[in-house]
Amino acid sequence: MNQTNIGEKYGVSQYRFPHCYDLKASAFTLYCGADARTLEFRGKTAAALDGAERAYECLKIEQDIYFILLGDTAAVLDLKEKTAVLSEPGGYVFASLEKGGKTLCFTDDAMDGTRVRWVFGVGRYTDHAYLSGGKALADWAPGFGETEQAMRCVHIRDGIYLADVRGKAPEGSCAPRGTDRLLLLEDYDHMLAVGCAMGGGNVLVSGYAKI
Amino acid sequence: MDLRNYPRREYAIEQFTQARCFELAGERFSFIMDSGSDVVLDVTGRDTCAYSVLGAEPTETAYLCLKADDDTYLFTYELRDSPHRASHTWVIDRAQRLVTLLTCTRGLNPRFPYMVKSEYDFGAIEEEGKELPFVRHCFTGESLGTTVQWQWSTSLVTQHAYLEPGYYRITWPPDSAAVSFETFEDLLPSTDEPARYVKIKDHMFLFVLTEEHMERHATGKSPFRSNNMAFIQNYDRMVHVGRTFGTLRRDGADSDIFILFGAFGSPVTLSEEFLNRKNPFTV
Repeated sequence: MNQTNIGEKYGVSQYRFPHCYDLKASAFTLYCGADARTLEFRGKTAAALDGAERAYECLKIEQDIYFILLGDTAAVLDLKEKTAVLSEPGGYVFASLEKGGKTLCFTDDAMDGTRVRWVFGVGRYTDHAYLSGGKALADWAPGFGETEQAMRCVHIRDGIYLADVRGKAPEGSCAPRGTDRLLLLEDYDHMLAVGCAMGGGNVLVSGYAKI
Repeated sequence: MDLRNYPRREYAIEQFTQARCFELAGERFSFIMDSGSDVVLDVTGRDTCAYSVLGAEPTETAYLCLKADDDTYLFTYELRDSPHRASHTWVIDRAQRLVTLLTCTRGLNPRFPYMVKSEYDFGAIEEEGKELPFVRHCFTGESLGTTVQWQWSTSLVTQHAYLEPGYYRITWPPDSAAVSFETFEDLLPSTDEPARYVKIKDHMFLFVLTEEHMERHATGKSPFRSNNMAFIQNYDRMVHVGRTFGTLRRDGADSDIFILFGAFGSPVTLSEEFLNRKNPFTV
């Protein structure tokens, strides 16, 4: 029997990598200026941010770089470089996993000129063209025409960037209904990305680049 | 920076490999095998494990691990105590407490020393206080009839047809990087190679091919010597993860190969002529 399918039930999350449980039973202190935040992974699905327990999902993009979704908050942990990025409803927090360690920052023009298609499933993709000045052109399959959207970028490590593109996905596109933001951790060496389509239920995605 | 021009490494089949899985570190498994050769696998760290067959002294080695779904792992290492180059590749299925062991050995064929021989064993994961499962992973014909396209990298695409229990057939679209590094048509009458199909669970299979005809009939004329490629194919999500074990010719020299790979799948329609062509290696 032909086993192939187009993954209709998964939509844009069809190619999502298996959940990563590497972090279970580990805890981190996130140092950001005078503040110290705590992030504790209590098991495969439960975590606590500053002591408040919530469900989490985790995907890996590199051996030591994790994308974590905790409700409406996303986190990127780089355990090798000891850096952390929190994207919370109130804004971004850049932290170090070591007291006095280095922190990351916005690097908005770092991806300027990059045009890429991220494929998340059979016939499901988004097209991004990253522009200077915190802007991007974006479209979703099956193709509605590019629209200009707000964009922020954080250079995580060589070849790895966190791209935060904010704008409504068209009705009838492959994005979950209500999607108004795509947060993607993009690896330009392996040409893979993991992240989350947000606004329409916060759906984790993984995929590959077409250039 | 236009990141399309990022100075990325040169990849063949491994560009889209997922990041290695470390979550089994610290775990110790007791595998009760149908062959009677039970194995204890101690995952001692992120990179190291120790295996022990039939209560023998544990042998330490380096391992590689990938996940095929949340509870199914491909876990592989080269044996350190074998007279020939050999590897174990496990499918560790924690949800069903089942395992499949693929043992590959190079050097057993006196005429073709690079030929890789494969052996299979099925078993269960012992857990204190629990009965062993009755069922096993098993050889299957359930995935026969599948035609699938695998995207391995930004430029490498292959198309597989699973048509008969002991073989698979491969082709590629004209814009795939595969056209530049292969000479199948000049060297062999067909791309059919030996393969086995093992059912892990619904919509998930261990698919194993061995590049054997290239070694047997065109020895040393192609970059491909004998390689064994083991894929856990997850048709629910249309992705696979795997590893290859064998020999590759690079710049005129043969070298060992033991790497992980991964790819994204999509349905494909292949020509009737391609699908119906007789397998020239079978009677």
